[in-house]
Amino acid sequence: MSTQKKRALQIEAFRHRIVVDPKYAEKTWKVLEHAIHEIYNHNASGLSFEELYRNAYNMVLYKFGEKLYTGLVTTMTSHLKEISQSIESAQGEIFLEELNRKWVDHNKALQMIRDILMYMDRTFIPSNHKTPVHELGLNLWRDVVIHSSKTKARLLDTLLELVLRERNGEVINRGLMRNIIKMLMDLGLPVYQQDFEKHFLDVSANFYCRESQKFIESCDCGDYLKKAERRLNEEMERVSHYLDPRSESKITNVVEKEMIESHMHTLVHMENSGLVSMLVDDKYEDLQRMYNLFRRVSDGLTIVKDVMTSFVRDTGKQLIMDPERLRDPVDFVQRLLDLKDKYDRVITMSFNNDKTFQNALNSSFEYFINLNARSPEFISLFVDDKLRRGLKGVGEEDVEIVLDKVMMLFRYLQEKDVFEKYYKQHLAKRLLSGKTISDDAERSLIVKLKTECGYQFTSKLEGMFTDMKTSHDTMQGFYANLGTELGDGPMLSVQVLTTGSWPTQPSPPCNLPVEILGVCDKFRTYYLGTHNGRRLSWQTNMGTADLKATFGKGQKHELNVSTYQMCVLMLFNSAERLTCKEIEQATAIPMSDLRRCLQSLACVKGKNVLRKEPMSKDIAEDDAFFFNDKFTSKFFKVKIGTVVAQRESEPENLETRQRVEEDRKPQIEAAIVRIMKSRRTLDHNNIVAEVTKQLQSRFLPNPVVIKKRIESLIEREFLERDKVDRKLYRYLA
Amino acid sequence: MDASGIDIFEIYRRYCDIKSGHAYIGGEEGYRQDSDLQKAKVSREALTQLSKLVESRVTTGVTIFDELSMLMSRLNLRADFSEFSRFYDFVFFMCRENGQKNITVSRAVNAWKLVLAGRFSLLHPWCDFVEKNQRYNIFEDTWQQVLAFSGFTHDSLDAYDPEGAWPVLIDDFVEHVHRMLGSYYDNSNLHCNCDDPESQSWVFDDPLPGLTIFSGLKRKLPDDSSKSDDMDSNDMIFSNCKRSRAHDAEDLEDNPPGNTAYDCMETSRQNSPLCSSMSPCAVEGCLSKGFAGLLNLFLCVVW
Repeated sequence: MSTQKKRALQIEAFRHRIVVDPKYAEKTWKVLEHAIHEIYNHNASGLSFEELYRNAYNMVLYKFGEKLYTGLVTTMTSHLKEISQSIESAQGEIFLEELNRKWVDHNKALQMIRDILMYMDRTFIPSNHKTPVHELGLNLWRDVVIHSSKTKARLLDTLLELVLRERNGEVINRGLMRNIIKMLMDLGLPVYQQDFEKHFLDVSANFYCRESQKFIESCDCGDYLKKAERRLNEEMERVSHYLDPRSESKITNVVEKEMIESHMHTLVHMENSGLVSMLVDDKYEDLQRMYNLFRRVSDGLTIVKDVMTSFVRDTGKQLIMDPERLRDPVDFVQRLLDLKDKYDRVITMSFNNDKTFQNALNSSFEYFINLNARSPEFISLFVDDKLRRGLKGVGEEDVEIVLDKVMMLFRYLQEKDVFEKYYKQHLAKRLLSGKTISDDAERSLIVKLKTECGYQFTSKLEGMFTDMKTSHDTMQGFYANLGTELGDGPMLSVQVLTTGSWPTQPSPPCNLPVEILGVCDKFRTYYLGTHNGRRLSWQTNMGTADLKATFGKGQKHELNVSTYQMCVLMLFNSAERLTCKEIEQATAIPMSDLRRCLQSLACVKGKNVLRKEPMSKDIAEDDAFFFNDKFTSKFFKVKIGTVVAQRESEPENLETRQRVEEDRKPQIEAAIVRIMKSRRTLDHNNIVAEVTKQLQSRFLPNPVVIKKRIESLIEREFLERDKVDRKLYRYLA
Repeated sequence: MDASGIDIFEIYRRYCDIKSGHAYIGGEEGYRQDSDLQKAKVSREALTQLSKLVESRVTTGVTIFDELSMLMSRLNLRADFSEFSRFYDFVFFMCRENGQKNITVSRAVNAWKLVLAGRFSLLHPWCDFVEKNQRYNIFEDTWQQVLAFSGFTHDSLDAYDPEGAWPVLIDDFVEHVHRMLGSYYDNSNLHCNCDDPESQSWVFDDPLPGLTIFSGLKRKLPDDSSKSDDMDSNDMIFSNCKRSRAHDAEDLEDNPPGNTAYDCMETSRQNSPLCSSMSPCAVEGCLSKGFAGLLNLFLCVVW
């Protein structure tokens, strides 16, 4: 009985609903429409979510989704039109606030409406390819409110006006700006880009174009760059506060283009404040700012680098070519080192240790250092000065620093073999005169040179040190062996120099005093007795002597003189008066050397142990010399005629150059022979290229000289030309 | 054998044998030891022996150049370049003295004038240059390269490559010639006169030889001779052309008929550049005149 009742109830209910379908849909929609109105009118608190949700659910379920969706669109549109009018009627600055408030309300309403219509969102809308409720709400807001004819232009103008005010220093409501911008973003990136960003960028470009023009006319370079930097930072800050992050690169590009790129050349070349002025005045901060800003635009750093390079080259060239500078080689090189230090500092502190700038600096130095053919000599003289006295008392670490700097300049030289020739001369003088401050420092530099140019470059230099060591041992052996026989004779110290290692010129032997000859002969006997087959020749032009002398009033002095000077002075032990000619005959010292000796002994105040008649600077053959009984000095030890390395005179320089050229020929030939020996057959251009490659660590061979060497080798039958191809050479075993 | 009995012909025969590796003494040794190195060594020694033999000859008042001239007249050098090349090397061999491997400048210059006449368009400028500038003897490689260079100047010095493994002396000479040509060309501008009917006629006449057969060219020779009188003012280069043409005239008469086609082709090829420069306007007039000058160089090398 109860079962029958259930069935009857169910059947009855179904039939009942079908019957009221048209009425039901309309009635149900009225309920929902009213609810939407209430939501927009802030009266949602009286609504029943459950009832509304069920109504929407049933409409969809009973196939009235289309009606529901259409009704929604119509109702929302109607409300948004009212909202739009309300916003448009807002006056002045209230406009943006009103817009923001309405937007917040719309979002709340949209949230509720979407919740009520969630079932439709999940079923009907996907099936019928409709726009989801929330998105629909945003689209309608965009189309009805934001893009209304009055609001659209006004919104943009208002936003841009506020940005402009902020750029001009005013404080604006950033929170409000952030909200409005976020609204545009919520409506979709294209809305933000089309409705705001595009115009913002255009207006900004105009702004910065005008501002940069004003700045460029009223500011110096440093100030301008400060302003540009500040503007960049402001724009980045603005983005972080209320714009979309994606806009940052776009707005910074605008600033970079208008404030930097457009005026790059003007800025760099500004009189009294541009890049050159910054470099001259060590404006590290300004330089760094320029580097950082110019790095932001294409070719910016290229311009900076080119101007720096050009300026460094000009500065270096002036330094290199200044006749005044060439008088003092040590000062000359020191200025080069200072110049390098200066620009290294600029690159380190301001240019981010940029490799391209370092390379540009290196190529600049290589360019101008090789403009002056004297550079190799001067660098060697600088080393000589440092190793004689400049580095005396300096710590080992600081010595290394100076030597490393010297190596840096050395690396720039294209004629390293010229440096080697001078270095050898100067080293020889340091070693033979005992003037070097430290053997360790000397050897340290030689190790660096070897590392740079190979063993062959330094082998003779090392031979010089070996000779010094060997000589020391030899003298010890000599005195240990013959000490008792020598008695009260003069002390002898001999340096045995290997021929070829030392830059000696053959000097005619002079007549040594009898007192010296004895001990010299003993040494010769001793040395040749322990070294079979050797041959000794005395280099009297390179020695020194210490003499004890007693003058007129009994005052005693110890004189430090050259060997030649010793030979001259010893004559006066047995002679009162001697002419220049007579001295020459007695000593066999070459006249040019003798004149210099006598000048040092007789014409230098405070050191004139000889007296000359007539009293004049020049020395003629018949001038007379006397022992100077009246000589006085406050020093016990008197040093006369110290030999110091000096820059060569022009003829000497020319002579050295010619010797360098002569030394290059066998090196080029040896390179050719080495190459052809390994290749057996090779064409002309490749020989030239290979020879150049092999030798360029020492010097750049002249192709014409290479060609001449090839001809010489053909003549001497080391090489021959191929019968068929005249450019092809063959090696003849 | 009596040394004084050896004449230039016998020496040349032995020289050729040695060079071709057929010397009877060298040949025997060569067969025993097959290496090229050994052959080269034997060849060198044989040449040394021959050189001593030559120097030990008793001179009878006839100079080496007289002998070489006689030898040249007997050999068929014009037709066979490899034969000429060997003869050219032989000349150097004969000019050596006192066991030296090189020869003096004066001997080299005389030898070049004898041997390269009619073959080297820049022969006289070259000889003048060497006499004035060369301080050392001429050694064999340079001597040989001059022959290669003389062939090279058939076309133009513009193609000369200073990096092309030429001896330094030839490099210097080319630089010298370029300077001379430069100054000549500059001067020619000053004397350009396109309104001169004789000048125009001269320009128009030149292309004609290129269009005729070889025999036709022969008939033109008298005209060229008369024109050369008008070219007295030309500098050394063009004087050289005149002399060279004289040689060509002589050689043409002796030329075997078999070479006619070849020479004719050479003529056509070398004349064609001028045909493209016919316009007698002022500027091109200068160009034509300058180019015509160069063309005369081309004509000189036809043989």
